[in-house]
Amino acid sequence: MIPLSYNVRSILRRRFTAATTAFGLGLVVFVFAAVLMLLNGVRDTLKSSGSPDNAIFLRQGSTSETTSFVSRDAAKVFAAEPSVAVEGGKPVASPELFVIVQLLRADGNGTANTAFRGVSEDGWKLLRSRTIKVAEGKLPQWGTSEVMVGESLKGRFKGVNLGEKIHAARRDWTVVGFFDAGGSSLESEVWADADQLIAAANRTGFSSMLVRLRSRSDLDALQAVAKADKRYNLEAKREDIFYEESSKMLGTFVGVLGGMIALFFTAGATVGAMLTMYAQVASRIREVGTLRALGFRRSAVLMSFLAESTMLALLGALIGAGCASLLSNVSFSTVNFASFTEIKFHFLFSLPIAIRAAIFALFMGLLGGLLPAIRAARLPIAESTKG
Amino acid sequence: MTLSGLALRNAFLRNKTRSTLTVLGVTIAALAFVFIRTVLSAWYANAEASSSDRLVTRNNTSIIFPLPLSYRERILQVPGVTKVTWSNWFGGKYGNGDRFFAQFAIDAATGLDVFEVRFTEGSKQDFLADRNTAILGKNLARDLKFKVGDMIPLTSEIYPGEWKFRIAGLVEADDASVGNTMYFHWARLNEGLPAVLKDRVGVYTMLVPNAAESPRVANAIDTMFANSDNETHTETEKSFRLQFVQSSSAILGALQILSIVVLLIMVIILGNVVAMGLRERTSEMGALRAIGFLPKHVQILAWVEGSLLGLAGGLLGVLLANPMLNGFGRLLAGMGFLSGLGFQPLTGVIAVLLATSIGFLSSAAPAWSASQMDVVTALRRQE
Repeated sequence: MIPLSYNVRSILRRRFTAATTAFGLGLVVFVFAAVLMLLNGVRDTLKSSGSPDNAIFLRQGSTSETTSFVSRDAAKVFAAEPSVAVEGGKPVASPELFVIVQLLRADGNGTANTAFRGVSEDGWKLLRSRTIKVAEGKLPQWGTSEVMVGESLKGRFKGVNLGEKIHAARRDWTVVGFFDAGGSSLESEVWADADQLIAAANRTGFSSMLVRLRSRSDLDALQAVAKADKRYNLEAKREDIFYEESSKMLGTFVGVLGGMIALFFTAGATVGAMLTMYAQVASRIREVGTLRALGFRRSAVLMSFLAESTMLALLGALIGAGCASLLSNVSFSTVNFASFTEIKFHFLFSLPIAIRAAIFALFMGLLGGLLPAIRAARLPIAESTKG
Repeated sequence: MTLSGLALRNAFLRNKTRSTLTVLGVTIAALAFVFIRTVLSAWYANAEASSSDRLVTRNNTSIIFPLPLSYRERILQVPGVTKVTWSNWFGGKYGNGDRFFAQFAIDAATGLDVFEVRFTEGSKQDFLADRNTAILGKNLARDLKFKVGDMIPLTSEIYPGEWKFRIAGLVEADDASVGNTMYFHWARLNEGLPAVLKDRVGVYTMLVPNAAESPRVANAIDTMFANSDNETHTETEKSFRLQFVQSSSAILGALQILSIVVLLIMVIILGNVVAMGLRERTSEMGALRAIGFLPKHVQILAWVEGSLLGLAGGLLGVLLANPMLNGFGRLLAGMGFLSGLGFQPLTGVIAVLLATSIGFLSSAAPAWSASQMDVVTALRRQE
């Protein structure tokens, strides 16, 4: 076998070409990893919004809270079901109103659809407050036009500051707090007292009701009850499944678009690697001849050139994955097609993504290096030593 | 052999493996460029297709809140407004919902007029006379394989129940979005609703022939309904439609950046290849110079070589773009995104021009250094 230091020296001798190739491969790894991180972030944001211990009531057939309706009667009836957990004599249920309002963007670039959620005092105390914490300011006073805002909305909209007012649904709402919902999509919402929001939005009831199950196995019973009661036309879904389904459309879209672009970049980078390696072989014909004359076999030459392209690819993977991991601090907001509201997402880095990116780079390096390496291995000794 | 003949040989015949790979690389980059630009323009197509003489009034709180039907008469009285129509987003699903498309319930008589709908098949009279009919954009009908006379069943999350319409006509308009949309009678929607949900309008669309009057008209309408139960927000049709695009601005921004990155990759590939070729031919350059060719000839030779490689790759990429975009467009439309994704000749021309000029520009640096080389050194150098 030809020592690897030979390849390292060769790469160092043609620094510029090697750097451009590694940079090109790195770019592809970066795009590839970024797409995976984005998908990961979208799934995580929406999935972490729900828990398997909870069930959500929606109008039958509704895939989002926007198009769902749960009357006050229905909320009372189903909260009293035995499958719903009870604490201090009260059912652990949170009937909520979900509407879309348009808020003015802070950068003056028009308005954005934002989710506005009305929550009841009991629903907050028994259910929502377990996972959502007020991070700054205070909880809104029940029965007033005070609101708290998810931390993701901070700085993005006019009036979203402690003590300032936002105008929505014919009212001025005073922002008194910011809440932390663990990075879930709820953090892109505005929360107020349910009765206040129902009055302001001219509604007669709720959009959904979230309940905690007495135990996870009670879900089936609750679903059967909801389905059997023809008066209200509701269905119950496990909360995490509901949110997972709502990420499907955006996930597919990002996946298809990102996958297509990653495909182009992969093809381009493989061609780039191939060009570089062919040039390497062409400019080292005499070296290869010498190596063969020294007694190295064809297979050793083949392996040596493959090792060299793999080194370049791994260098690229390092650059690409390194840059991609920096994206972890980057967030962006885009519309979630299921709810039609803007949600803030994060790029989410993980070890499996780094590994997949590295394998991917390796594959590109091997593919790009294979044909040039075969050419190098097949050079006839006599002619190649002549140069 | 002429100088251009030599450039042609240098670009394509001297090292066939390298030329093939280079052209392939540029082809892929051009393909990616056309792809990204087409997706971007499809995104904005709906907003771009809007008419400048139309205003849209929605509920000030947000688009999901309706407006009362009674606003129609009051809006008509605002000076500058010549016609008013109204529509509701139906949000319907056809079959298992795999193929998403927009449906609107429109006030038939005024709607056809304001949106300037033209019938390509079927008849307007038939549509206007029967409340149970619908009209389909002709591209949508082609995709879904519907023809005049067929029945189309829909279900909606917003308006529960079974809805069924007979297709009375296929339509188009200058506004390209009409070709991908379904319209049916607002009156039919209204009569199918329970009393509490009746007489609610999604948005009003007004015709204001004098665009200069639009800001005043919009202001007059919103002032008229200020402090009422249903405050309004009036804007041009374009800015109304742009809102839906703007919500995805993060993704659009990323695509914009990527389309530039693709061009950078082209620069890297072409620049590298031309530089490699020239390096290998150093002694030949020396020979050319020794027999009397000037530095500028050497430079031109390299420029032409780079441009030719760029041109060939660009052309090939654009040729392949059309079938690829059709396939991808069908895939996306099937999932309900960006209907009407298609190859635009202008994007193709831009891609070819860019590829050629990138070939030219990226060969500039190696061309210059080759032309500056000392004749004797160049002749002596062997590699």
